[in-house]
Amino acid sequence: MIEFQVDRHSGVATYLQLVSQVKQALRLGVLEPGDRLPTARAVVEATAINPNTVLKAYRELEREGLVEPRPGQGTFVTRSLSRPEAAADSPLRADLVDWVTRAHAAGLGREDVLALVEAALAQAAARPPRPAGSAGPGTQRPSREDTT
Amino acid sequence: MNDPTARPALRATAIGQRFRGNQALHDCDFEIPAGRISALVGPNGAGKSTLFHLATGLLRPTTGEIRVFGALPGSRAARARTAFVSQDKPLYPQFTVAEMLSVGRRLSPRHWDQAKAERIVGEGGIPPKSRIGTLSGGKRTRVALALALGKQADLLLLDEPLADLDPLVRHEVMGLLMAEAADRGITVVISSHVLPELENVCDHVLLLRDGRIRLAGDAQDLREAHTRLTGRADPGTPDGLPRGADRGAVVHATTTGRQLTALLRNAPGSPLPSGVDERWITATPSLEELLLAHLRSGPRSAAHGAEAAA
Amino acid sequence: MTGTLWLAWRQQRLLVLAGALLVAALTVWVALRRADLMEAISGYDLSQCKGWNGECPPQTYAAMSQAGGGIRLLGAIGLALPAAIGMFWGAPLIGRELESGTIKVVLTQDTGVRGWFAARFGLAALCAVAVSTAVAGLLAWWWAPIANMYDGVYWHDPYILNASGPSAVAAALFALAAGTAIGLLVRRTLPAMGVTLAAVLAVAAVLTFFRRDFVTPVDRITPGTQPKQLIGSAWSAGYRYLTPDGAQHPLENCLFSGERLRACMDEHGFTGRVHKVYPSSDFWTFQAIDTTVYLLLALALVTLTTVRLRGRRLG
Repeated sequence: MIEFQVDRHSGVATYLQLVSQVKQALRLGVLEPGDRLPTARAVVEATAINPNTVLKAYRELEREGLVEPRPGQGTFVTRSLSRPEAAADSPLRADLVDWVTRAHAAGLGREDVLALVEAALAQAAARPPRPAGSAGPGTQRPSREDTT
Repeated sequence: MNDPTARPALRATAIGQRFRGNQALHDCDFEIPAGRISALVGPNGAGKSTLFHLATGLLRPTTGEIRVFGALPGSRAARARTAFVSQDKPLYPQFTVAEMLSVGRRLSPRHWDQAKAERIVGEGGIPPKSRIGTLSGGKRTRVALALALGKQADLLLLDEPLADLDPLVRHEVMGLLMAEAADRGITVVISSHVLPELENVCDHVLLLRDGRIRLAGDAQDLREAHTRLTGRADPGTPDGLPRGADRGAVVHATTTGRQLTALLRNAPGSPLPSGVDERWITATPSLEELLLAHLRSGPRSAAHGAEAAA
Repeated sequence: MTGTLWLAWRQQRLLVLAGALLVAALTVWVALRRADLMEAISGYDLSQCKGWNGECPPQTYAAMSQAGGGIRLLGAIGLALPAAIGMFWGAPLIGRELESGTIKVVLTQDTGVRGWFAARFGLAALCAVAVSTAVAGLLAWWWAPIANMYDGVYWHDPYILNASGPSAVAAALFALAAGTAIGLLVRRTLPAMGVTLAAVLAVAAVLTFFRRDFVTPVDRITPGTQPKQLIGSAWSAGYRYLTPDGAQHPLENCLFSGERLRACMDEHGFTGRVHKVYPSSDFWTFQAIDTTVYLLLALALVTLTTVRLRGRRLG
C-alpha cells in the first residue's frame, strides 16, 4: 500500500503529485502489478484533499496504462516501472553511491550534486539517443499546472 | 450524483436580503453544482452566513428566490436533503454528547446513520456521556459535524467549520469531510476566510464581497482564466504594466521597487492577457492567489465610501 | 412528532419536575392544614357565620383566622403562578433557542417548525394547565368550608377571584403564550422574562380595574334614613342617594352621618339611599369575563407565534 504526501506549497498541482508518487512507488517496487491502490476515500481521509483530485490522478494513471479500475473492487496496478538496474543491490546503483561518496569527499554539497546530475542528464539528452531503451515510460510531460 | 447534467444543488435567482434597512445581499445569482465541493469566500460581514441561512430556510429572501435541489429551502423536501453547521456551532450545553446525537437521530430519522455519528465523535476521543458544556471548542465542532454528517444529507452547508480548531484537528476534520464526500458524492459548501485551507479541498468557488457575488465558477477554470504576471515594471507607463496590456483586465497589481506583480484576466480564448509578451514571467495563479487578488481589487474603496455614507 | 416530543421532554423535564414538586408539597400542606381546620370547626353551627356581619361560634375564631392566613398565602402563590410560568417556562421556550442559536440545529432537521413548536408548546401548556388547576383546586377546597365568613377570605378577594376557578388556569395559559411570543420577538431570554412579567401584570391590572364595568351591580335601596341592609357576603360597589324621580346622586353630596346626614338629605331632596353591590353569585360572571379575555389573548399570542415562526427570521 502507498501513503500519499501532499505538499501544499510545492506549486505542483496536487493530482500530479499523486501521479508522480505512484510512479515513484512503482519504480522503487513499493507497488507491484496486482496491488490495489488505496480508495479515494482512504486517500482523502488521510490527506484532506478533494476526492475529485484523487479520481483525476487515478484517471491519469489509467490513461498512461499503469493502473486499471475494476468495478466494485478498486483500482489495481497493471504494470511495473521497477527496473532491476535501480534495485538496491544493482551495480549501477553501487557505482552511483560510490560517485556520490567521492563527490562529498571533494566538498560538493547536496545542491551541487543535484545540479551536476541535472547537467549530466541534459548533456546526455542532447546527444543522439542510444539504441536500447532510452526513453522510459511515464516521462514527465510539461504541463501548465507544473508552473503553479 | 456527479452527473454534470444534474440540476444544481443550490440555485439563487436575483436574491436580495435586507435587515432593518441594511442591505446584506444584493441581487445575487449563482448556482452550486451538485457533487462538488464549493468554497464560499469573503471577508467577515460579506453576507456568507446570510447566504447559508437563506439556503437552509432559516431566513426568507427579501427579493428573489433560492432553491435546494429544486425545492424551496425550509420545505420538507429541502430540509430532508440539507444539513447545516452554523458558525457558532450551537448545541445544548446541558445535554450529554449521546443526547445531542439523539436530537439528530430522533428529529432526522429518515436517513440517520447512528454508527457514523458515534464513530466521528469517538475518533475525537469524546466520551458519549460527557456534557456538551464541558467540551472544548474543537470537540464541540466535532459533535456538531457528527450531527450534520449523521443526517446523511445530500447537501452539506458548513459555515466556518474550522474556525476554532488547531491545525492538527483541522486536517483531521477536513479529512473526515472529504471522506464523506468521496463515500456519498454529496455536495459540500464550506465558507472560510482562511484561504489556504481551501486550496486542495474546493473545486468550485463563490466569492462574496459587500453582499455581491464577485467571482463564481469552477476553481480550475477560474485559475486558467487568469494569469499571474511578474517582472520588471515598465518604466514607460505610470502603473508599470506593459503598454499594450488591457487595464480593464487587471484584477490587482502591486509594484515593489522595480518589480511588478499583477493578476490579470486572460483575453477571451487565449491563455494569456492581451498585450503581455515574453519578457514577463507568466503563470497560472493558485486558487489562494486568485481569491486574494479579487478580495483586494478595486471597488472595495468605493464600497467602503458607501458604507461610511450610510 | 415523537422525536420533537422527546426533545421537548428532555428540555423541560426540570421544569416539569419543579411543577410536580410544587404541587405535591402544596397538596400535603393544604391537606394537613385543612384537616386541622375541619377538626376545629366540626360540631359547630356556622350557618350564622356568613358575611361581614356574621356571628361565628367564638371557639372557632382562632382556627378560622389561622386558616385565613394560610389561604391568603396559598392565594398569593396562585396569583404569582401565571407570572412565574410566563417568565420561567414561556420566555425561554423559544427565546433561549434563538439566543443560543440552537434553533438553527433543530429547524434544519427533517421535522419542521410546526411539529417542533407544537410539541414543546403543547407539553408546556399541558403542565401549566395541570399545575395551575391543582393550585386553584387546592385553594378552593381549603377555602370552601369557611368561604365568605366573618372577617375571613371573601370570593371577591383577589386570592379567590383571581387565583381560583377557571380564570386562574386561563391566566396561566395566557402567561405561557405571552412569554413564548415575547421570547420569539425579543430573541433573548432575560429581557423577555422582564417584558413577560410586565405584560402579565399589565393584563391583570387592566382586568382588575375594568372587569366591573362589564357587570351591572344590584341596587339595594333603603328608604329615608332607615338603617341600611347589611352587606353580607356581597361586594360593595359604592353608595348613591335617591331622589323621588328615581335618579341616583353621588355620595359626595352628603358625607355625614346621624342628624347632619338627615339635614343634608332633606336639603338635597334625597328620599333614600342606594347601596350598589355585586352578590356572591357574580363570582362566576367575573370568572367568565377573565377566562374569556385570557383565553382570547392566549389564542391570539399563539397564532402570532406560529405566524412569526413560519415567517422565518430565525438565523
